[in-house]
Amino acid sequence: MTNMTRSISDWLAPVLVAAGMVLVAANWYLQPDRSVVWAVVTALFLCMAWAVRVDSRRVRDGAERRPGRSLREGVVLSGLIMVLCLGGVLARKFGLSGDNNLSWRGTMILLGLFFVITGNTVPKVLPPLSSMPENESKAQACRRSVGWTWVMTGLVFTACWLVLPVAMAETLSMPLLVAGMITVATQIARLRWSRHKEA
Amino acid sequence: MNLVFKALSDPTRRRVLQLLRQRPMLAGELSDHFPVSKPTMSAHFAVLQEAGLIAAEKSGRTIMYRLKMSVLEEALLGFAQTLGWQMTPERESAAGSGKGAAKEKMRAIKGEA
Repeated sequence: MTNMTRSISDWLAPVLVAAGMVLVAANWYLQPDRSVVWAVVTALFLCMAWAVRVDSRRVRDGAERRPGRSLREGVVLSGLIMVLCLGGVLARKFGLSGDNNLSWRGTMILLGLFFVITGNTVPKVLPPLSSMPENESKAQACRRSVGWTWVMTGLVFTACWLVLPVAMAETLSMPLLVAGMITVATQIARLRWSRHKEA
Repeated sequence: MNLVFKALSDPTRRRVLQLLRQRPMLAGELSDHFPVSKPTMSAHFAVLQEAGLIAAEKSGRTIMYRLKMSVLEEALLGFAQTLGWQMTPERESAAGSGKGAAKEKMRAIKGEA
Protein backbone atom coordinates (compact mmCIF):
# COMPACT_ATOMS: atom_id res chain seq x y z
CA MET A 1 0.00 0.00 0.00
CA THR A 2 2.77 2.38 0.98
CA ASN A 3 4.71 1.48 -2.18
CA MET A 4 1.68 2.32 -4.28
CA THR A 5 1.28 5.71 -2.52
CA ARG A 6 4.98 6.32 -3.05
CA SER A 7 4.93 5.60 -6.77
CA ILE A 8 1.88 7.85 -7.25
CA SER A 9 3.47 10.65 -5.24
CA ASP A 10 6.67 10.34 -7.30
CA TRP A 11 5.05 11.79 -10.40
CA LEU A 12 2.10 13.62 -8.79
CA ALA A 13 4.21 15.97 -6.65
CA PRO A 14 6.00 17.79 -9.52
CA VAL A 15 2.78 17.83 -11.58
CA LEU A 16 0.87 19.50 -8.72
CA VAL A 17 3.63 22.04 -8.12
CA ALA A 18 3.68 22.94 -11.82
CA ALA A 19 -0.14 23.14 -11.98
CA GLY A 20 -0.15 25.31 -8.85
CA MET A 21 2.38 27.71 -10.37
CA VAL A 22 0.25 28.07 -13.51
CA LEU A 23 -2.89 28.70 -11.41
CA VAL A 24 -1.10 31.33 -9.27
CA ALA A 25 0.12 33.09 -12.41
CA ALA A 26 -3.41 33.09 -13.85
CA ASN A 27 -4.88 34.40 -10.58
CA TRP A 28 -2.18 37.06 -10.31
CA TYR A 29 -2.89 38.23 -13.87
CA LEU A 30 -6.63 38.41 -13.24
CA GLN A 31 -6.46 39.95 -9.75
CA PRO A 32 -3.32 42.12 -9.60
CA ASP A 33 -4.73 44.05 -6.59
CA ARG A 34 -4.00 40.99 -4.38
CA SER A 35 -0.40 40.67 -5.49
CA VAL A 36 0.91 40.19 -1.92
CA VAL A 37 -1.21 37.05 -1.52
CA TRP A 38 -0.09 35.65 -4.87
CA ALA A 39 3.56 36.43 -4.08
CA VAL A 40 3.30 34.47 -0.81
CA VAL A 41 1.61 31.54 -2.58
CA THR A 42 4.29 31.59 -5.29
CA ALA A 43 6.98 31.49 -2.57
CA LEU A 44 5.23 28.48 -1.03
CA PHE A 45 5.19 26.66 -4.36
CA LEU A 46 8.88 27.45 -4.86
CA CYS A 47 9.59 25.89 -1.44
CA MET A 48 7.59 22.82 -2.46
CA ALA A 49 9.51 22.57 -5.75
CA TRP A 50 12.75 22.76 -3.78
CA ALA A 51 11.54 20.02 -1.40
CA VAL A 52 10.69 17.73 -4.35
CA ARG A 53 14.15 18.36 -5.81
CA VAL A 54 15.86 17.58 -2.48
CA ASP A 55 13.79 14.39 -2.12
CA SER A 56 14.65 13.27 -5.68
CA ARG A 57 18.34 13.80 -4.98
CA ARG A 58 18.14 11.77 -1.73
CA VAL A 59 16.45 8.89 -3.53
CA ARG A 60 18.99 9.06 -6.37
CA ASP A 61 21.81 8.89 -3.81
CA GLY A 62 20.25 5.72 -2.39
CA ALA A 63 19.00 7.17 0.92
CA GLU A 64 16.06 5.25 2.34
CA ARG A 65 12.80 7.11 2.93
CA ARG A 66 11.13 6.63 6.27
CA PRO A 67 7.75 4.91 5.79
CA GLY A 68 4.78 7.25 5.74
CA ARG A 69 6.96 10.31 6.26
CA SER A 70 8.14 11.06 2.81
CA LEU A 71 8.60 14.71 2.00
CA ARG A 72 6.98 14.07 -1.35
CA GLU A 73 3.75 12.77 0.20
CA GLY A 74 3.49 16.02 2.20
CA VAL A 75 4.02 18.02 -0.98
CA VAL A 76 1.26 16.03 -2.71
CA LEU A 77 -1.26 16.73 0.05
CA SER A 78 -0.48 20.44 0.42
CA GLY A 79 -0.27 20.75 -3.39
CA LEU A 80 -3.71 19.17 -3.82
CA ILE A 81 -5.26 21.50 -1.25
CA MET A 82 -3.65 24.60 -2.76
CA VAL A 83 -4.46 23.65 -6.36
CA LEU A 84 -8.07 23.00 -5.35
CA CYS A 85 -8.34 26.41 -3.64
CA LEU A 86 -6.65 28.28 -6.49
CA GLY A 87 -8.78 26.46 -9.03
CA GLY A 88 -11.90 27.39 -7.04
CA VAL A 89 -10.92 31.09 -7.00
CA LEU A 90 -10.26 31.02 -10.74
CA ALA A 91 -13.53 29.20 -11.46
CA ARG A 92 -15.48 31.81 -9.48
CA LYS A 93 -13.69 34.61 -11.33
CA PHE A 94 -14.80 33.11 -14.66
CA GLY A 95 -18.28 32.43 -13.30
CA LEU A 96 -17.86 28.67 -13.80
CA SER A 97 -18.79 27.84 -10.24
CA GLY A 98 -21.73 29.42 -8.48
CA ASP A 99 -21.07 27.57 -5.26
CA ASN A 100 -18.74 29.61 -3.09
CA ASN A 101 -18.18 26.66 -0.77
CA LEU A 102 -16.99 24.19 -3.40
CA SER A 103 -13.26 24.66 -2.82
CA TRP A 104 -13.82 24.80 0.97
CA ARG A 105 -15.69 21.51 0.83
CA GLY A 106 -13.02 19.96 -1.39
CA THR A 107 -10.26 21.08 0.97
CA MET A 108 -12.02 19.56 3.98
CA ILE A 109 -12.60 16.27 2.13
CA LEU A 110 -8.89 16.14 1.30
CA LEU A 111 -8.06 16.89 4.93
CA GLY A 112 -10.32 14.01 6.03
CA LEU A 113 -8.60 11.66 3.59
CA PHE A 114 -5.25 12.82 4.96
CA PHE A 115 -6.39 11.76 8.46
CA VAL A 116 -7.41 8.37 7.07
CA ILE A 117 -4.06 7.83 5.32
CA THR A 118 -2.06 9.01 8.34
CA GLY A 119 -4.05 6.86 10.76
CA ASN A 120 -3.72 3.85 8.47
CA THR A 121 0.08 3.92 8.62
CA VAL A 122 0.40 4.58 12.39
CA PRO A 123 0.50 0.85 13.42
CA LYS A 124 3.13 0.17 10.74
CA VAL A 125 5.73 2.54 12.19
CA LEU A 126 7.66 0.41 14.66
CA PRO A 127 10.32 1.71 17.02
CA PRO A 128 13.29 -0.62 17.70
CA LEU A 129 12.27 -3.37 20.09
CA SER A 130 15.46 -2.97 22.11
CA SER A 131 14.32 0.44 23.41
CA MET A 132 11.44 -0.85 25.59
CA PRO A 133 10.90 -4.61 25.13
CA GLU A 134 8.79 -5.13 28.27
CA ASN A 135 6.28 -2.49 27.19
CA GLU A 136 6.01 -3.54 23.57
CA SER A 137 2.62 -5.26 23.92
CA LYS A 138 1.11 -2.12 25.48
CA ALA A 139 2.81 0.09 22.90
CA GLN A 140 1.50 -2.15 20.11
CA ALA A 141 -2.04 -1.99 21.50
CA CYS A 142 -1.72 1.80 21.74
CA ARG A 143 -0.45 2.12 18.13
CA ARG A 144 -3.34 -0.02 16.89
CA SER A 145 -6.03 1.86 18.77
CA VAL A 146 -4.56 5.26 17.78
CA GLY A 147 -4.53 4.11 14.15
CA TRP A 148 -8.13 2.89 14.27
CA THR A 149 -9.34 6.03 16.08
CA TRP A 150 -7.66 8.31 13.55
CA VAL A 151 -8.91 6.35 10.54
CA MET A 152 -12.50 6.30 11.84
CA THR A 153 -12.32 10.03 12.68
CA GLY A 154 -11.05 10.73 9.16
CA LEU A 155 -13.73 8.60 7.53
CA VAL A 156 -16.61 10.23 9.43
CA PHE A 157 -15.05 13.67 8.86
CA THR A 158 -14.84 13.00 5.11
CA ALA A 159 -18.38 11.61 5.02
CA CYS A 160 -19.71 14.74 6.80
CA TRP A 161 -18.14 17.00 4.18
CA LEU A 162 -19.25 14.77 1.32
CA VAL A 163 -22.94 14.50 2.12
CA LEU A 164 -24.02 17.22 4.56
CA PRO A 165 -24.73 20.89 3.83
CA VAL A 166 -21.66 23.05 4.58
CA ALA A 167 -23.10 24.69 7.70
CA MET A 168 -24.06 21.34 9.21
CA ALA A 169 -20.75 19.74 8.20
CA GLU A 170 -18.90 22.58 9.95
CA THR A 171 -20.98 22.13 13.10
CA LEU A 172 -20.51 18.36 13.21
CA SER A 173 -16.99 17.82 11.87
CA MET A 174 -15.10 20.17 14.16
CA PRO A 175 -16.31 18.63 17.47
CA LEU A 176 -15.71 15.22 15.89
CA LEU A 177 -12.12 16.15 15.09
CA VAL A 178 -11.55 17.51 18.59
CA ALA A 179 -13.05 14.32 20.10
CA GLY A 180 -10.72 12.22 17.91
CA MET A 181 -7.70 14.27 19.00
CA ILE A 182 -8.64 14.00 22.69
CA THR A 183 -9.10 10.22 22.38
CA VAL A 184 -5.70 9.82 20.70
CA ALA A 185 -4.01 12.10 23.26
CA THR A 186 -5.61 10.11 26.11
CA GLN A 187 -4.38 6.80 24.67
CA ILE A 188 -0.82 8.13 24.32
CA ALA A 189 -0.91 9.71 27.79
CA ARG A 190 -2.10 6.40 29.32
CA LEU A 191 0.79 4.53 27.65
CA ARG A 192 3.31 7.09 28.88
CA TRP A 193 1.84 7.00 32.36
CA SER A 194 2.10 3.20 32.54
CA ARG A 195 5.73 3.38 31.33
CA HIS A 196 6.47 6.04 33.92
CA LYS A 197 4.89 3.90 36.67
CA GLU A 198 6.89 0.81 35.66
CA ALA A 199 10.19 2.71 35.39
CA MET B 1 -1.26 -5.71 -2.33
CA ASN B 2 -1.22 -9.10 -4.07
CA LEU B 3 1.28 -10.32 -1.50
CA VAL B 4 -1.02 -9.19 1.32
CA PHE B 5 -3.94 -11.15 -0.12
CA LYS B 6 -1.71 -14.17 -0.59
CA ALA B 7 -0.48 -13.91 3.00
CA LEU B 8 -4.03 -13.56 4.37
CA SER B 9 -5.38 -16.46 2.33
CA ASP B 10 -3.86 -19.10 4.59
CA PRO B 11 -5.57 -19.98 7.92
CA THR B 12 -2.23 -20.71 9.65
CA ARG B 13 -0.82 -17.33 8.71
CA ARG B 14 -4.04 -15.64 9.83
CA ARG B 15 -3.76 -17.41 13.18
CA VAL B 16 -0.14 -16.20 13.48
CA LEU B 17 -1.32 -12.64 12.95
CA GLN B 18 -4.06 -13.08 15.56
CA LEU B 19 -1.52 -14.36 18.08
CA LEU B 20 0.79 -11.44 17.35
CA ARG B 21 -2.09 -9.04 17.97
CA GLN B 22 -1.83 -9.91 21.68
CA ARG B 23 1.92 -9.29 21.99
CA PRO B 24 5.23 -9.77 20.16
CA MET B 25 6.36 -13.41 20.30
CA LEU B 26 9.46 -15.49 19.74
CA ALA B 27 9.54 -17.74 16.67
CA GLY B 28 9.57 -20.88 18.82
CA GLU B 29 6.73 -19.61 20.98
CA LEU B 30 4.61 -19.05 17.89
CA SER B 31 5.51 -22.42 16.39
CA ASP B 32 4.34 -24.18 19.55
CA HIS B 33 0.77 -23.14 18.74
CA PHE B 34 0.73 -25.13 15.49
CA PRO B 35 1.04 -28.86 14.77
CA VAL B 36 3.43 -28.28 11.86
CA SER B 37 7.20 -28.54 11.44
CA LYS B 38 9.45 -25.56 12.21
CA PRO B 39 10.63 -25.20 8.56
CA THR B 40 6.98 -24.96 7.45
CA MET B 41 6.40 -22.28 10.07
CA SER B 42 9.52 -20.46 8.86
CA ALA B 43 8.06 -20.50 5.35
CA HIS B 44 4.83 -18.96 6.68
CA PHE B 45 6.84 -16.30 8.54
CA ALA B 46 8.75 -15.54 5.31
CA VAL B 47 5.50 -14.99 3.41
CA LEU B 48 4.13 -12.70 6.15
CA GLN B 49 7.39 -10.76 6.25
CA GLU B 50 7.47 -10.43 2.47
CA ALA B 51 3.94 -8.98 2.60
CA GLY B 52 5.07 -6.50 5.28
CA LEU B 53 2.55 -7.77 7.83
CA ILE B 54 5.09 -8.75 10.47
CA ALA B 55 8.54 -7.55 11.44
CA ALA B 56 11.33 -9.73 12.76
CA GLU B 57 14.00 -8.61 15.19
CA LYS B 58 16.92 -10.88 15.88
CA SER B 59 18.67 -10.86 19.21
CA GLY B 60 21.32 -13.52 19.66
CA ARG B 61 19.89 -16.84 18.52
CA THR B 62 16.25 -15.90 18.93
CA ILE B 63 13.93 -14.09 16.53
CA MET B 64 11.16 -11.91 17.92
CA TYR B 65 8.18 -11.32 15.63
CA ARG B 66 5.98 -8.25 15.83
CA LEU B 67 2.76 -7.20 14.14
CA LYS B 68 3.26 -4.61 11.41
CA MET B 69 -0.23 -4.25 9.96
CA SER B 70 -1.88 -1.05 8.82
CA VAL B 71 -5.52 -0.42 9.75
CA LEU B 72 -6.64 -1.40 6.25
CA GLU B 73 -4.66 -4.65 6.41
CA GLU B 74 -6.17 -5.42 9.79
CA ALA B 75 -9.64 -4.82 8.40
CA LEU B 76 -8.78 -7.18 5.52
CA LEU B 77 -7.65 -9.78 8.04
CA GLY B 78 -11.04 -9.44 9.75
CA PHE B 79 -12.83 -9.96 6.42
CA ALA B 80 -10.59 -12.91 5.52
CA GLN B 81 -11.30 -14.48 8.91
CA THR B 82 -15.04 -13.96 8.63
CA LEU B 83 -15.34 -15.16 5.05
CA GLY B 84 -12.73 -17.91 5.42
CA TRP B 85 -10.67 -16.91 2.38
CA GLN B 86 -8.51 -19.64 0.97
CA MET B 87 -6.47 -19.57 -2.25
CA THR B 88 -6.04 -22.58 -4.49
CA PRO B 89 -2.35 -23.58 -4.91
CA GLU B 90 -2.37 -22.32 -8.55
CA ARG B 91 -3.68 -18.90 -7.53
CA GLU B 92 -1.23 -18.76 -4.65
CA SER B 93 1.71 -19.37 -6.97
CA ALA B 94 0.32 -16.79 -9.41
CA ALA B 95 0.07 -14.23 -6.61
CA GLY B 96 3.71 -14.82 -5.76
CA SER B 97 5.04 -14.68 -9.34
CA GLY B 98 7.48 -11.88 -9.97
CA LYS B 99 8.38 -11.74 -6.30
CA GLY B 100 10.84 -14.57 -6.54
CA ALA B 101 12.81 -13.88 -3.38
CA ALA B 102 10.26 -15.14 -0.83
CA LYS B 103 9.33 -18.07 -3.04
CA GLU B 104 12.94 -19.11 -3.41
CA LYS B 105 13.41 -18.75 0.34
CA MET B 106 10.36 -20.95 0.96
CA ARG B 107 11.61 -23.58 -1.48
CA ALA B 108 15.02 -23.57 0.16
CA ILE B 109 13.48 -23.99 3.60
CA LYS B 110 11.18 -26.77 2.38
CA GLY B 111 14.14 -28.43 0.67
CA GLU B 112 16.06 -28.43 3.95
CA ALA B 113 13.11 -30.13 5.62
